[in-house]
Amino acid sequence: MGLLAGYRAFVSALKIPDPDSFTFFYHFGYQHYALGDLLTMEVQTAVRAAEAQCQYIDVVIGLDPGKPASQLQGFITPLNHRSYLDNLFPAFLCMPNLRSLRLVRDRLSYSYLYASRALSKIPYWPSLKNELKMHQEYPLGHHEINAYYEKHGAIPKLAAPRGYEMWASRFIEQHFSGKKVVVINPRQSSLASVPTVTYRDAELDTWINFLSTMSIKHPDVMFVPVGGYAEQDQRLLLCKNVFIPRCNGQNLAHELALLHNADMFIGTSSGFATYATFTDIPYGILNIEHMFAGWVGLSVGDRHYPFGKPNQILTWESETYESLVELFDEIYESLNTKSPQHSGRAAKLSNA
Amino acid sequence: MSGALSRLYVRSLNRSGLISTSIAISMEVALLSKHIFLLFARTAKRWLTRYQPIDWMDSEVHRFAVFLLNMGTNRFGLRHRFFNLAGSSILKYRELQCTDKLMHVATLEGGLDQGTALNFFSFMTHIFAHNLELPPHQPVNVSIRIAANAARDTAHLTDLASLYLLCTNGNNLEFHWDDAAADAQLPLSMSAHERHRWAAHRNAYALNTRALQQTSFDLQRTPPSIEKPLDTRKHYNDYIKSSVPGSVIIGVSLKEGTDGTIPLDDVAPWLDFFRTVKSNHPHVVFILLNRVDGWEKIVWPEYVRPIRSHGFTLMQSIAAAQNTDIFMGVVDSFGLVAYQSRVPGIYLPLERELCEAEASDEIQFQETAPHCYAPVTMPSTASLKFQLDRILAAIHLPNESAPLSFDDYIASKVTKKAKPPARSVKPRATKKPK
Repeated sequence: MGLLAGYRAFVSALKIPDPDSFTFFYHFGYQHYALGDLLTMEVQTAVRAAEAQCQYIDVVIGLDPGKPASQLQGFITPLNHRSYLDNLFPAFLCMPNLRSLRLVRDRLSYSYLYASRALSKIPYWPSLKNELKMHQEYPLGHHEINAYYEKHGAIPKLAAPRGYEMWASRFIEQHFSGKKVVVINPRQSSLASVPTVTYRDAELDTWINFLSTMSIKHPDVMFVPVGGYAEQDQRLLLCKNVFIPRCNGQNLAHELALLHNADMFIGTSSGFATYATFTDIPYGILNIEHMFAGWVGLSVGDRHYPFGKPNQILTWESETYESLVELFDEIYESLNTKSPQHSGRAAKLSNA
Repeated sequence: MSGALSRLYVRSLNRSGLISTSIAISMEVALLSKHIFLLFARTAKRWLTRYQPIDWMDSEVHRFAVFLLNMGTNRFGLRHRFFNLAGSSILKYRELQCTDKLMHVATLEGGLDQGTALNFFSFMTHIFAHNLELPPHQPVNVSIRIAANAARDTAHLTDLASLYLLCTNGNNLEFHWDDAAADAQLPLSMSAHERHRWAAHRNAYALNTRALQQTSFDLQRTPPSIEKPLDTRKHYNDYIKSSVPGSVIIGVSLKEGTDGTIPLDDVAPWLDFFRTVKSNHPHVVFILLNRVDGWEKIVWPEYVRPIRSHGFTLMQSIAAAQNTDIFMGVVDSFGLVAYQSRVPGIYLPLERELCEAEASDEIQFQETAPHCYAPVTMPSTASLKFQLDRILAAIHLPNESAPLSFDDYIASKVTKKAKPPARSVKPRATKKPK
């Protein structure tokens, strides 16, 4: 076989006819181990797939065990990267219209997969230039998502982690029957093993006061704090209206599934808030960084994302006890006054 | 800086009359041109490396793509490199076609049962490598197809991924929710040599529980390699040192349900057994490796630790099973990794049917671990206690006596001060008669 014939065979073997699919590549060599960034990229992927009129999305996760993270996350090393990946992996299952998910640890296989998409002219993202330069710009903005919303009047929504939908329904029915489920995320990164951006952390005393007030004012509400086990303060365990999934041996997949089936979300601007942003759940996102406003196409002080609903509220300052109660009451009233379809869980049940 | 000094030195030579002006000018030009050349070379290198990250240099396809991208603006005489690299990528591909280097694919179809799938999965790569008569550390790809009727209710996919990450020979992992699309994509993830085997394998993978379980028992001589990541091991050690230091740790694993949990009612009968053992062996602490549904409904005794409720992930629990002093429970993934780590203990079968097929009452894995027993029928409490006593007696225990309470400790100190031990009076040496 001549060189040219070999080349032709090589290229033809890489080509696959698959016009309905869009491929999303996520390489940890230059992309972050961060829940919020990943979820935003998933929605951006869904938007691009919709624009390209692709019905399904295939996800390819690239991981080089020898160099598992970018320089910005130097604390993730070949010795501990498995735990970080294990913690983040469920987020990939939230991709809407997910058809397949590949975790590729072999560099050559990853390259062949990428080359096959490029040669077959199957739409994919990130671009070849990003892959070659191994560069991704952060923070990720909402410009594409906002543009899509302006054009179509709706955006693709994140799903519950694939395979966990039924579990979440069963769990809520079994443990919180007759109660409203409110997922909360008072960010406590300072308690984590690797604290990051601690100035975004919430004042936990405020939250404890808030929860104790709610136990009297709204006994029909169960609060579910989400986040790493180390980030859960001891005092939360003592609250009777609180259930902590991580203390029940559950992981991120369970938390996201519960969040997807919850009635409301209130929490600091973080990864879980990003998940709520791209679902139908009524939410209150607290203490959004002012520098973030430009990236998401907002002005500081705006109460809603362009694609947000009236009971999906943003705040730009640190929460106080009074503001927290007020925000909760506002969203809670919207649950009761509006038709059941507006409630996240009710909408899921009606769809089912 | 050195260039400027050299030029000054040349000028000083010229002024002193040691060299002529023309020679001095030519020397300065030569020095300047060297400097310009170095600057040019550095810029060129920076430009080239911009599109050639070192991380990707091993990937032939990316080299290929890099040079395709740069071909239009390639003015550095590197076109021969482009052809060389394109040629080498083809050669590499041909090499992969001719070897078994790339992939061996295993598939679990339909709904996955937690109790058995975890078990199979942790051993799957090894089992198939074993069946195909491949070396134990052959890189293996696993492709899992999930049937449409089970797509919404497989609440343990992430657990499977966790376990797969611990397999030393686990190469790539795939989940497919669309069977037809998986078939179309499959040739990309396996070598051409493997494609014709695929049809035969797909049928072979529909192995029943018993066959796979039996295979896992047959692998005594070549136990699978489950990694012991440092961070999870450290997490376990930190937990033990801070919460139950100096104790003999017994890891307990019970059979899990389809969602990866065990109901509290299944744990309740074991608590009596734990209490009995604790009364005889005060240093013993039991750590429960499974996720317990409704764990918060009871107050757990200090010597029983449901570690999944204490923030342990599945990976960290696997590390716990690998590092416990004694293991007791079913041969699920925890049992398998404990067995592979040669942890002495009582290994109960996961499936009763499998045990009934065995003729003997007890399998003794004497070759791998000296105190490792696997009764083939579900034992009674008395039998369990008898065997646990045997193991505890056989392994080295640092101090079997119960530690003193603080009051007893103080009392013993006071007693010692009040009644110092009587000194032995040495008899006076008598002078020997001359």
